[in-house]
Amino acid sequence: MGEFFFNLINMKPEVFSGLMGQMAQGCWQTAEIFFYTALFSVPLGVVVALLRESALKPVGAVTRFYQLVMRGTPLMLQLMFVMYGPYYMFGVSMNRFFACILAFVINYAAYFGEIFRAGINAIPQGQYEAGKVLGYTRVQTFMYIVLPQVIKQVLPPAGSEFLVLVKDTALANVIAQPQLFDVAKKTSGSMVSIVPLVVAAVIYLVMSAVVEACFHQAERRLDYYW
Amino acid sequence: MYLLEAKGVRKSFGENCVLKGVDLTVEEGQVVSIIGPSGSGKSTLLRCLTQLERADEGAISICGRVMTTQENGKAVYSDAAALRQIMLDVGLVFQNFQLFPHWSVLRNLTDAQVRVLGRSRAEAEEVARDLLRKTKLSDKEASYPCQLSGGQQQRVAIARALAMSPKILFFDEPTSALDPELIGEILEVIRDLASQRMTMVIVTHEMTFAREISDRVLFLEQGSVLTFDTPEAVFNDTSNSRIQAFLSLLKK
Repeated sequence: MGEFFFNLINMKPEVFSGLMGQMAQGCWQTAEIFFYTALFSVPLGVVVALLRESALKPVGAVTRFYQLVMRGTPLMLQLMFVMYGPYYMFGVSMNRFFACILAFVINYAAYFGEIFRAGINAIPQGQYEAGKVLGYTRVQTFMYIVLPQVIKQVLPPAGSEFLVLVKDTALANVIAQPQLFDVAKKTSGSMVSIVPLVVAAVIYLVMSAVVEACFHQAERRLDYYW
Repeated sequence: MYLLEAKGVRKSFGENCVLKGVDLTVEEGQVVSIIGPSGSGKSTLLRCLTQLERADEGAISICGRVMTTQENGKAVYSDAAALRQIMLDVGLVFQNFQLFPHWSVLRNLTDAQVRVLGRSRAEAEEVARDLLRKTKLSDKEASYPCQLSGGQQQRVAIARALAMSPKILFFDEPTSALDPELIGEILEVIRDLASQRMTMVIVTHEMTFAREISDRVLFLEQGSVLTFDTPEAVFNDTSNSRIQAFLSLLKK
């Protein structure tokens, strides 16, 4: 059975296990990009949504322009810009991983901003008023009354955005940030084999499935109201 | 002693002048109903008194605390600390309940007590359970608002307001969003509160109820007070054609 498998993929077992080791490392690096981007871009997205809805018109306008730039130019180009821009302009070299995370975070925060904005606007004004007459401060009303309801509201679109992020991590290749796609591309070339690409595809799919399952579970958990 | 004193309250939304100088006084333990045709400014008046809208003009005092004074033709509001204290003395029941859907009935009643008033959880729950007993909702404390009927939700909303121990309770058309057969249970709760001498201001379309329960009735029309008197005087005043026209319209 094992022999049949290795014949099929035309690869020696020790070569295959070496490949899997590299793949596992790439997978971990991809997960790191995913994790840090999610960690920072989601809260930043809430801030973006609030700034966009600010009573101060210029603040809203500037935020909208930032979102236009982030959503209206290729993420690949933004990665290049964050990584190499500071060097070309000021001679400052960026740490590769830091530049990668920074570019992903400011890009994804723009998208999450729109998702949260839609969620916040879906909460009736009366909820804020009920919070106010009960004596909650504005911050308390937002944190304890509005935000939990917003989270339920935005789970489906946010889950979709997270799935896009799983695959977008491959764009980090453009600044030579090591991750799964980078490993797959290099090993596929050096081995002259399609196997690394297939393995990478399966890993991306599994990571996506895990993310999807998490959101599915979260939605079920919040199913108890409305 | 007046728990609420409002004089010359004016409010415009852009060009649209909704309140054109409304006077209203409420004594401790009194029930005042605000009636009048839709668009007459009843809800806006209530929203100004509960700080959900800012009055343009007028002097308002609640529970002996100054909310606004009238200076140079404008309403000047007291500082944030004073306004907050007034907010804590005031309760409001909304037309469409505005319960917090993500919290159980019990949490709806206890959270603000703990977070705003600083009561202990045990104390807050005791207050909440006592109120749920009075509103006949004891078996619903673990339920979520979406699992309750409209009448039950509104009773929870009243209990939530009462849990904060307000000195004066406002109702903004508390039965207007309810099916006819559910209105009775809300009116019963309000009637009960009246018998306990709770000071209340109620915007309502339930004329029979307003007549029965109120010490004073304020009739608003187009942002002005047409009359502010005892229910007998208001409802029996055959000389006032405007009020009679409104009342006969409702009877149809």
